[in-house]
Amino acid sequence: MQVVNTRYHYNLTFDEYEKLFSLSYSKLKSYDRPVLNTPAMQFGTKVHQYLLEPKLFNHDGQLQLIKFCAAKVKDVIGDLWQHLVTEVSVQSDFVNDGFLLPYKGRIDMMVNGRIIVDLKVSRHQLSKTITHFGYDNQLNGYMLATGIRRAVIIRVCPDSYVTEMKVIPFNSFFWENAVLRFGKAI
Amino acid sequence: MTTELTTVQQGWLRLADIRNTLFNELQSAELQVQQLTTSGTASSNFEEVKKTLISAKRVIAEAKEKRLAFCRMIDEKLLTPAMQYEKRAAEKIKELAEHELNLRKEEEENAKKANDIIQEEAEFKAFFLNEGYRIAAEFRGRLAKFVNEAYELALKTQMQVKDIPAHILQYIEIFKGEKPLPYNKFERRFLSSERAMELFNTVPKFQHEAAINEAISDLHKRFETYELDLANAEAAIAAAKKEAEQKEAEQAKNLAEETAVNNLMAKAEAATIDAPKIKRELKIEFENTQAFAAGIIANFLKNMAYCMEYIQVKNYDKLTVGQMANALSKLATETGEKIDNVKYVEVCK
Repeated sequence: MQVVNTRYHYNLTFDEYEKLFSLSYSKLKSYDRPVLNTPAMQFGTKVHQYLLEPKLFNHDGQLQLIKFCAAKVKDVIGDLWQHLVTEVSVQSDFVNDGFLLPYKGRIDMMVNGRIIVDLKVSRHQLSKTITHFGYDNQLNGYMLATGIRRAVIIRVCPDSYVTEMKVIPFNSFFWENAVLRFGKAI
Repeated sequence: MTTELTTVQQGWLRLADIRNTLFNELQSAELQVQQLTTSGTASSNFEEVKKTLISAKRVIAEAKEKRLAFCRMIDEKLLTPAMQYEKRAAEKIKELAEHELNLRKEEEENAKKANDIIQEEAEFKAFFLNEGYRIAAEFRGRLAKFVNEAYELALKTQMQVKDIPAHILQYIEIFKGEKPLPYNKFERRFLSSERAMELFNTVPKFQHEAAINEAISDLHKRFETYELDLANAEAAIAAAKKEAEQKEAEQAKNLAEETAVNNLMAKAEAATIDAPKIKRELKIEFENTQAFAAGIIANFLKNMAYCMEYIQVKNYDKLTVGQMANALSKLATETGEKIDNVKYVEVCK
């Protein structure tokens, strides 16, 4: 498996990112399924926006809850917060066995060359959701594209504000298969 | 075939008769009171009304006595004995629940101890990883300063090119004499010294000899352009200084980033062991004194805005000091806000 032609975009809005011509993990995941947008997911998006794109945050509704969640996440991240760049869009070409998959990902937080940090707002424990939703595959896509090999998911519960963290080990297996399944022959 | 009934069984058979007799008596008492009150309400003679009122009260008091005697009998012979089964069972369940709670507490304590060790192991590893990074950065920085110093000194003193190899050798000797800083001490609370040593051995160590060789190579490279730089020594010194400052700032940034990343990774890697859940509540120990009641009322009023969410009453005339104390207890459980001069006990469930 080779990763070539990696490009970073630091100031893209989500809509601009969506227009990038490449395949993201969420697109792969919803390849044969409809994309959901539940109230819980909308709340999660707001927490992301408040914390990671504060300039775009629209200050209305559930503001207190959003602020609590964001504050807890910031607490957990600690000193690393000041070194993080947020909402980084990355594009790469994944090449495997004569096939090429143009990949894109939108990384919540990262320190260049050192660590990727992903945020999840969820009532369910990571031990259950990582495999169910394939968060490990999502982060492995980021790791492959950036060359960073340390990745962490931080979860905050929107009810109790309890947080937890899990390290995601690097494994390219899912993406090697994805290139063969969804990529184009070179 | 007839069945002989025991006295108790015969007594229970008569219960229906007794009940019917009582209800007839109660009904007739009610009718009697209705008649008396109707005639009394129609009369305007004070003495007569007074007498009628007394009679009506007596009739109803007598009926009440009969009803209470019946109910007492039902309570003593039927309800209370029936409840005894549950009460005895409840005692046993309570004993078992206490035993279960004690086991949960024990398991929680064990999980806490295990988690403390896991957490400290992660902190320990991150600490020495960061120490290694700090020591390496300081050592490399120190050698880089020597490289700059050697070059600046040569330029400032207008050293001849033929003297440079000797000058370089002098600095190489200085490099070789340099030692890295020692590791700072990690304050262990839960880790045994054996386990600490085991973990320490897993952390990659800084190889200072390699750093010295890199610095020697840098030194040689730096002097490659010496002859040309000598022609404009002042500008070359200024440029070298600027480059050194940039490198230093970059190294400081790297160190801060790597330290913060290691700390987060340590926290994330410390997988915690789930402990059984124990619900802990604070309860105010009730004292049956006027001063205690006054204290509760005063503090309830002071914290009324927060306490009201714990109060559920339909009529405020039913709000009791006990309910106020409970609301203050819940406030203490959820927020840690305790009031003075009362005793709290922790209740585990």
